[in-house]
Amino acid sequence: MNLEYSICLKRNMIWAATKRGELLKQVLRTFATLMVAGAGLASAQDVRALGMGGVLLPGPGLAAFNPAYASYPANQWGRGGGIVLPIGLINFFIRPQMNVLNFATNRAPYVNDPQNNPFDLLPIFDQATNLNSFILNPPSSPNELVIDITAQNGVRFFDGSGNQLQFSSGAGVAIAGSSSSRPLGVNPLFRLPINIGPVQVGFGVFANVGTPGISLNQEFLNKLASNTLEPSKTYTFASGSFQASAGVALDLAFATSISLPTTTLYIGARGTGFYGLGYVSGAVNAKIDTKPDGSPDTSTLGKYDGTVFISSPFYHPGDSGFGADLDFGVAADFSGVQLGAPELERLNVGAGVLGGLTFSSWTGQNFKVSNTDSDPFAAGKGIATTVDSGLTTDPLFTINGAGLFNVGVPGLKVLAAADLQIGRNAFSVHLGAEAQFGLLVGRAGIGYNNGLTFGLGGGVDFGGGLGLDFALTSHTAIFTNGYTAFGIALALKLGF
Amino acid sequence: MKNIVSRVLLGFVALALSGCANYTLITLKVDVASLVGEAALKTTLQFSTPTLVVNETVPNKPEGQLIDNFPKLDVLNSAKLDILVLTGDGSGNSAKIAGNVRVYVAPTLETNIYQDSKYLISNTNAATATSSIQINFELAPAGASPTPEQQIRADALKAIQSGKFRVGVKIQGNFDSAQTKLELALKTFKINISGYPIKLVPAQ
Repeated sequence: MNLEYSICLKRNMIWAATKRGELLKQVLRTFATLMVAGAGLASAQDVRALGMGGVLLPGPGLAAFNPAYASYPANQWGRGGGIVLPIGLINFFIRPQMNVLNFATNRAPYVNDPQNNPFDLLPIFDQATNLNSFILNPPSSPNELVIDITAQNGVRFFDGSGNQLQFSSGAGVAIAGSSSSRPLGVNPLFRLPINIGPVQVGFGVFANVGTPGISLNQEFLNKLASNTLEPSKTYTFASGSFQASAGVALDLAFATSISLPTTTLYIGARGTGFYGLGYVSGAVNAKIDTKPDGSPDTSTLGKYDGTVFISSPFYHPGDSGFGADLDFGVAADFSGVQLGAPELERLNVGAGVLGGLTFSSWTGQNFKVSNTDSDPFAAGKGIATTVDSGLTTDPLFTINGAGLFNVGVPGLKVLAAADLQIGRNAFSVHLGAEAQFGLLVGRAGIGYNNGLTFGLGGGVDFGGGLGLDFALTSHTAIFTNGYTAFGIALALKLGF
Repeated sequence: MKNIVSRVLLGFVALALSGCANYTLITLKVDVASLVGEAALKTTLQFSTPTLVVNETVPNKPEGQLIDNFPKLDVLNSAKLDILVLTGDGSGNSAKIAGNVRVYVAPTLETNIYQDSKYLISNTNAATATSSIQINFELAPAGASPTPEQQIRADALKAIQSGKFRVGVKIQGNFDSAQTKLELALKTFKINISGYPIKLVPAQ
């Protein structure tokens, strides 16, 4: 739902720009598109890794979580990557209950005959936050929502079958998107490394979409339930927030390998500076008035107010963000023979910490938005504001391992990997395996990340980096009691 | 432009309220007995013979029970009442009833709610029942030319939607009890009101 507010606001933003010239409108439209594309890409995990249950594999790609891997040779553990196709978009056109465009332009059938013209925000939101995956079984809202009011238990929510629904209204509903929840972080989408000995200069582009949230106002619900709403007053019944950022990052990493008698050790440290080209955050309150008799006046639905912060040199010259981040890591290679396990061809383990120290600052314009202001983003309405994180410690720890096994069948190789990540309000653990026989690859994995996740995938490897990967994906849908949504992700590998 | 924005937003807000889909029926289930307290919905009789003809009301006062803390949402346009009348001596011993149970809903200003021609919304016969009588019935808005009964029920629905109303139950019939004490209590008294909030959204 919150995403819809954000889309509405972005549209409004673009409309507002009409008055400020066609050029600016174009720039904004491009920027908005980039942000949306960035959101899609940011949530697009490596399809090979998805097929292995989301496990992290050793290689330069892992340098995002452990800078020691910046000096690790590429493709030692197979080749992932590729262009992830946002095939989730297809659902918005082929499933009538998810056709946002149709709902926005032709609403009468949805209102007059809801049973035969379903429109459901739940699968829309779930798919929008998982664009890299075409969801096969989108979740659906219950046919009946029961709001149960008793003196003993207060207000509770159930579906028509009597299952209690999870959105406890007090704490707010944090919706875990699959994109990075780090609003100001600098994990780049892609990174071009330039090696100068052990020192590596990297240039990358980042785009992060923060975890959007929506919460129902408990005070309003309690007053509604106990019929103690004050007459002729405006109440906030729900609040939403969102944030997204994009920019370029330049990092200076020191990573090197040290050959020891029984192992090769990789160590790395990285300082990243970023220049932010876009940061949008907002908080919107949905409001309703009460009638003189104290009942909610449903004709006033649609009232809202809030604030939107926009920082971008494209939007307002002079605005931008900057920041820095400090990361450390270590990794090591072992051979199975040295470890006394000859069936194990080789083993890699690593440990890294991101954001031991983080600083960020964005300068932009703060706008007040409300239903009474038709052009809240007009020139001169913004209030120059700086959003400063200060120097913070918000570490993310990553521990990973991978082994290549010789199972005794000629031409068959089996790779197994595991990882564990703790920090930034997240805990995840993954186990995955890959078996390659000639051109064909099969993959499977299991993990825990806000719920149990599974991976199943495969691919064709033509050699030279050319290939196609697919994976069955699964995630726990938002607003449901652990409903597992399955999907398909596709990636094209073109050899670069 | 603003108009479109607020209308789109209105659509999403109504959807959010209706559980995120336009086809979601939203039901407000209110445990009235727990809100007013079970003690208020109880009548106790003392008598000398084990068999008796009763004509009693619960609660035992002409103005009935005032409910003034019921949620007000006029978008919810049908109501279902679920009432369980318990008969016994209050100590776990049952009493047999042969008679009927009448339910009345009236506006707050009414001083005598037990008027069949104005406020009777349900008349359930209990040919012979032991311990308890379950009553379930629905209220709907009146159609084009409602019968007097339909009109009374539609008025009762309006009273419930307003969030403030009076309610009472009259029990008439023959009781058979081994005890000399009889307790009539509304053990369960729930009102469910339902509707489709998407209907709030202007279709154009």
